[in-house]
Amino acid sequence: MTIAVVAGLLAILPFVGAAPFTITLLTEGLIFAIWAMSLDILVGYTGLVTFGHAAAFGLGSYAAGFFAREVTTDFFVTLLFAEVVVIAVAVTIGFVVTRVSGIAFAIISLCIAQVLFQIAVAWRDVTEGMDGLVGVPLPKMFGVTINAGTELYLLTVVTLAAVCIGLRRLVESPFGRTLQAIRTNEDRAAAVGINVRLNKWLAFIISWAVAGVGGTLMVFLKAGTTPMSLHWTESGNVLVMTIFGGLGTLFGPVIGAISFVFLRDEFTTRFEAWQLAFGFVFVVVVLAFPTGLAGIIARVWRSLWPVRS
Amino acid sequence: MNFFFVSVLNGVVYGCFLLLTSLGLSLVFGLGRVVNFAHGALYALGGYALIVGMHGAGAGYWPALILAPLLVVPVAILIERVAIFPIRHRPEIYTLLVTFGISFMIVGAIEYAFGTGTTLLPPPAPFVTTVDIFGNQYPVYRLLAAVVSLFVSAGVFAVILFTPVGLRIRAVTDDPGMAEALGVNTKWLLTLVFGCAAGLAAFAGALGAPIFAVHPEMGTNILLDSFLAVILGGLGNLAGSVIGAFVVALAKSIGGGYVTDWSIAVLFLVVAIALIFRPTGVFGRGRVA
Amino acid sequence: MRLLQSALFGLFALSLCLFANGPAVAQDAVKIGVLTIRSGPAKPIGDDILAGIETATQMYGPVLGSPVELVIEESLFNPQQAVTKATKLVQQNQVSGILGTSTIETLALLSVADRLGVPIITSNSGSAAITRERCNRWVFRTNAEDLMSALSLQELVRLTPELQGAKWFTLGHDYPWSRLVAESVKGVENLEYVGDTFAPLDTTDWAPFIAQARAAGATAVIMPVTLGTPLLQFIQQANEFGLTNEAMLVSPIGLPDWLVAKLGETSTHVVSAGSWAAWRYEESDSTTRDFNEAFFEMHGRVAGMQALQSASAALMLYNAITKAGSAEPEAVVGALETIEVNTPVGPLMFQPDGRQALVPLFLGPYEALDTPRYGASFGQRATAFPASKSLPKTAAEYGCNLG
Repeated sequence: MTIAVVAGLLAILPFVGAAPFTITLLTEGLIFAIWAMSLDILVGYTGLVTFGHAAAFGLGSYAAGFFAREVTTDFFVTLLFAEVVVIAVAVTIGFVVTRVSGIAFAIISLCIAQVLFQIAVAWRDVTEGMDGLVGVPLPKMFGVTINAGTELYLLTVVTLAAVCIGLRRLVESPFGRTLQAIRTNEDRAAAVGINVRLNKWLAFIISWAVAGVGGTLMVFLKAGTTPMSLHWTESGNVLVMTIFGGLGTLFGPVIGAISFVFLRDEFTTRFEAWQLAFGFVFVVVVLAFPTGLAGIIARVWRSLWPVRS
Repeated sequence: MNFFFVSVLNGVVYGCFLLLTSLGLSLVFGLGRVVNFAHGALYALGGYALIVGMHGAGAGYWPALILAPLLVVPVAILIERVAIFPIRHRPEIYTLLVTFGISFMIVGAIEYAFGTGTTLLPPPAPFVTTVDIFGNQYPVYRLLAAVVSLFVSAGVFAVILFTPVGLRIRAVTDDPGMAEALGVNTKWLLTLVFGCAAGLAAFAGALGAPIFAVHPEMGTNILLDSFLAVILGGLGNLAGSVIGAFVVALAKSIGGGYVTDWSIAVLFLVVAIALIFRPTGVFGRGRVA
Repeated sequence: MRLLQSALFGLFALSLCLFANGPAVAQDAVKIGVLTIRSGPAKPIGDDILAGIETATQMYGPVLGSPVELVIEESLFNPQQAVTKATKLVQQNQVSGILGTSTIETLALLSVADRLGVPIITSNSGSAAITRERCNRWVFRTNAEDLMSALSLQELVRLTPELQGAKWFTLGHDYPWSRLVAESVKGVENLEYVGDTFAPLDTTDWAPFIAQARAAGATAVIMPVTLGTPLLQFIQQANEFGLTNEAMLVSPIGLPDWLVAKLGETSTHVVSAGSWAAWRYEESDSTTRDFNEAFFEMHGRVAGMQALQSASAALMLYNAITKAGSAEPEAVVGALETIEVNTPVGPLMFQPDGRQALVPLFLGPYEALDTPRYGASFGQRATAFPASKSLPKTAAEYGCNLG
């Protein structure tokens, strides 16, 4: 219900006078939101901090971009292909990396993302190396081209809403509770009979699959992708968005991703030393507001209208 | 054969240099479970402190090299008190996040204060030349930097093994709760060690300046390499970090010599595989998992 | 609680719209977007690109009676970010053209050029594909592309006694560009090629790669390395290892002059196999001299390779707008196809039915100057290699079909 209302509000924005560039940025922000939510499944719900989540998003972009360029631009078929690739890779990698947790997990995921980065640089027949996969055409749906701008934005809003609904079901399901139990205390979860490794593996696959959806949309928005989309700095960015918005909520990463995109745009346009401002805002949020923007909003809200129940 | 020898020599030299940054990273983690992502930025700060010393204060290279860590240590202590101390009770991953943000701030501040340009510094006068090692021309300054790094690292080990402060550091690393119960002031010890580790990184930045040049993002690669070294050795395990540093450096130089474009990817793959089978570090008891 | 959240979220999103609409701008100015590197290690390149455009703008004066307003955006040297910022320039700032992009940004913009619908003139992109098989009617280029440089190598060897009979080695970053340079060196007749190595993009320690060049016995090392900090590091380390005593360093696209200034004496070990521009071309072209003087007056330094190039691109655009009589994109593109303009890199026009400028390459060694000029003590001795030799065929024969 809530998701439908938010999606509805977002969907009417282009028709109530939002500037075209606002819609462009918002499209980017909402795609990042899908990515950030997928990260939150790992970091916020399962307690597996990854420093290589760009791998999932970038892989989705490459798979979708390659398929759209070489085979068909049909959105559903392209998405399906990208998901098959992403899930296949996630199943393999996830099987291995979910043996560990904590910092070891963070570093291994970083290493794997860097290996994928190198593959993207070196597998020139498919990826075109550092020049990047360019010239990806616009997607088609039922034979109709989805144009850049409002149409692609609406597609993104609908996809985001679908992902939100799916993930909400997921985190409220027994499986979601299991993940949170693993986050709280892995040993205790194992002690009460939870198959920790299997559940971590499933969470990893789901997280990658959702990130792949974001990657698919992004390759259409940017009409291409480059190995930089797999670089570890991008993994840092998505972590920043998610924590900035608020870990362990679905609402937080969405807010975080949108603010990230708008703040980065403003900062990079206005300040030459944008990293200074960006780093400062981030440090303040992590130090003073561990629950992120979502937490701040909730706190302000509660102080204005104390909850009676 | 000669080519292999040169590759190994390159690796050993880089490994010595990598010790300076790896030891600090490992110490800070072992002691306070702080994953310091700002270590690379502090290294860069060292390079700029050298420039301030040489161009700003007109000092020679050697005095400026000594001055550089002294300038950076107070900054690091401030960072520790303001940003890391308050989150000590939170999961260790938060220290990673905060220092990630701090490294952005430091790099941004450097760009703001000094611009983004690269500064080339020639090695100090008598060391500009090369020396013949079995028919290979090798730069003297690299050899000198390696030797200096080895001596400084040996000094760090001496302090930890043979001094009262070192005893406290070892005690806290082993069991912080017990050490505190026995009267060790863990708060200030961490501040002190964080400052000194930053000093080591800054010293490395200044020492490496004539080789790698000084620019705002000079710390990125050294951060990654040191992290891989420390992780391989087991976070918090100093002896392991030493081995880790040489493994990483040799893998990079020999890999760079033989598989070139894939060298870094191979290094990452090796570290990933090693960690999967030994999540606490390959060389003995670390504290990763 | 949930409803509150959604309402807040809606408000938040709405406030963002207002935030991003930005201030209204003066209607009568001709707005030109400059999308270039404004931060990070490659910023000095962006600085030169911007400074060149600023100087050209001041020298040209009003366009169609209106002042030119430059809207500067940061590309972050990141292709995806460049797409966003280019969209911002078009949608929000309503610019009439985009200048200032480098290779990876231009490649990314090619994919969205039809969506953007404004002329893009790049002056700092090497990749040949941009004006060959991937050419797009909106995207023009003033600098010479990589395959043009390849054709000038033989001429360079003829001009440079030190390179005659040399053993060639390619040492570069792992870009498709670097492999292209290697292939083109191999393809030159009567050159002895002894090997190549392509370093990972993050390389800071070049020792393993220098060792390889040495083991191969190279006496001419062509170095397709990212311009900026990496190239500085590489040349410094090559010098440190004494490689510069054994081998001539050959720069495939020339060195930016701020980099030459930083290298100082070391730069004299380098010879350019085809710079995109050279300020010492002023010895044979008075337009270059006028520009150099204006640039020095405005920025207090010598006009570097990127500045001369970006100024040429800006002059092409301003002349085209003037000729078209309006800043309407289609008309400007039409005018760009036919104009010929005197620029700091010589008289310039675009290839018929193509998008590549018929621009000379500037070959020659870097050397100490007898008397410093514009604050520079070192500079490239430039011999122009005409486009008729480096780009002998028609656009269609190079794979560009604009249809």
